[in-house]
Amino acid sequence: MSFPINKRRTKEKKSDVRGVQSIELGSRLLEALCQEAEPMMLKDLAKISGFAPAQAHAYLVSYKKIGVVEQDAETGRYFLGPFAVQLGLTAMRTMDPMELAREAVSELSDRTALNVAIVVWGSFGPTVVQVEESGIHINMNTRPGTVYSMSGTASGLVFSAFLPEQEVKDAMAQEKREPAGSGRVGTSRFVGRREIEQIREQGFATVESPPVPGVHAYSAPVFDHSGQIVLAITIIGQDHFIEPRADSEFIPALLETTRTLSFGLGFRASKG
Amino acid sequence: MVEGARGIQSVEVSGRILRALARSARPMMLKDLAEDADLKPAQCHAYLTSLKNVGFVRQDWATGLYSAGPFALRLGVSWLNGNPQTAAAKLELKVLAEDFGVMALIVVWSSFGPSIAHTYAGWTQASLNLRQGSIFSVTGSANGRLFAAFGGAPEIAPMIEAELSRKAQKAGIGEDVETEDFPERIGEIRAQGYSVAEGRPIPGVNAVSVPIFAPTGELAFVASLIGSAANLPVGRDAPAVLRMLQLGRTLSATAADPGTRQKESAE
Repeated sequence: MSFPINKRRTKEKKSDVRGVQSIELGSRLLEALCQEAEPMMLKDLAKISGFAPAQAHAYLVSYKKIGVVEQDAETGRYFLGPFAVQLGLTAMRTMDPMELAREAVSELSDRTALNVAIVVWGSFGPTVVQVEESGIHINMNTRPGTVYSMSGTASGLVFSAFLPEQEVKDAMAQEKREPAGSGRVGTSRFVGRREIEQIREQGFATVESPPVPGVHAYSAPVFDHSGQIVLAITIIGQDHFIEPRADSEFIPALLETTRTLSFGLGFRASKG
Repeated sequence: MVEGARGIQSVEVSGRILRALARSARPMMLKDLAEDADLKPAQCHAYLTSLKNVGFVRQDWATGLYSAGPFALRLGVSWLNGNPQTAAAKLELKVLAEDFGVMALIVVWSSFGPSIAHTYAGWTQASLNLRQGSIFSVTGSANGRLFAAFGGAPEIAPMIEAELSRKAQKAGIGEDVETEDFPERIGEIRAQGYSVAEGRPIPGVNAVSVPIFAPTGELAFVASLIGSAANLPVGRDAPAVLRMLQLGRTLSATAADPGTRQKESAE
């Protein structure tokens, strides 16, 4: 690999250890283009990303060459180019939300010593697909395949709050028609608009009277890049263990996990 | 380039690594990435360290393999949100998906074929396993056939040939298509300006797709509705077909009118 001048060669050698600085600097320009969603003038783009215009221009020349940035021929403004979407597709193709979720819940369970469940939206409602057992807490009614009540469980309430309203209405109506002994966990009850709004606002759900007495659960949603709920993560533990530390420790840890996961799936909380 | 300005060489080198990742169907080993990007492994590793720090690539903690990371995803999503045509399509498709109780897709061309860039599941969440990054067959899906009819990418023709000769490993979603009537079918699609799927490849599931053209006149992407045959009849006068045709015309015209972008941003 030959570089045009010696100075650069030594710079690149050093970078073998600590990475290549210009890649990390340059990404600030791309980050700015992602954030603005509008074609941008060089001077604004440079200003936002903390570059001198000439320096930003040098980066943009190269980003244009690799196709990640385009420049409007008439206005001279910059915007994301076709390679941006190809990179996005590459990530979408190889990224497996369930695999990322499994890693995340395993960490969360280790950290909190709680049982942690991954719950997805199935044909019959909120469905457990994985349970990470801490080994300390016995959990008799949560296993892969368990279907939760929409209104009588923490996980169900998360889907009730974050799925499209029509789907929630249909699912709740279906649940009410079920005969006793259908095997669904949790008892159907009325959920008011205020409760739903509170869940949306605080970003997690729980129920006052849990399906298993003495066991409490808290559940939070994971979103994808289009803002749709992909799954819920639910922490479950015995009252005497989970309740004293829920607000101070466990709920923040749960939310940190779901937010990191959502972020990794491309989700950005809408601006303002 | 008039100004002929010097670029930043390491950015261009990183582009070679990212391109190698985009060409690969699966996560890659360092030595393969280095070879594809024409770098020494140690040098490639330095680049990957920075690409990882920024989130362009991620490295699996168990296997050590590299794949595209969250920042790559963000760039793709930002392109979808920032491009006036895809941004408008997302909004309008959401309305259609909810009105008909079906799923909506935006499908773009990638080197692997027609790829789902955006899905809106509406209230049909659990029924179809289509997700971002999934790939359709060019010949055997309503989406793919629009690329066959209107697309300009050089990979399209060889991909059609491979699929029709059944030599292709069937990677994409779609039905098997007979060679004899394929050209005729594409001719019809060109004439009518949309394409449909009825009960194939998935029994009981229909789809309707329309092409969206860029200001240059090239096919930009495909917009589709897909759902149960009961909710989504796809006859010539079916409401979903008429509204999708309308959407295709509006969005393609939006692009053709150079004043629109400014107008929209002023609002």
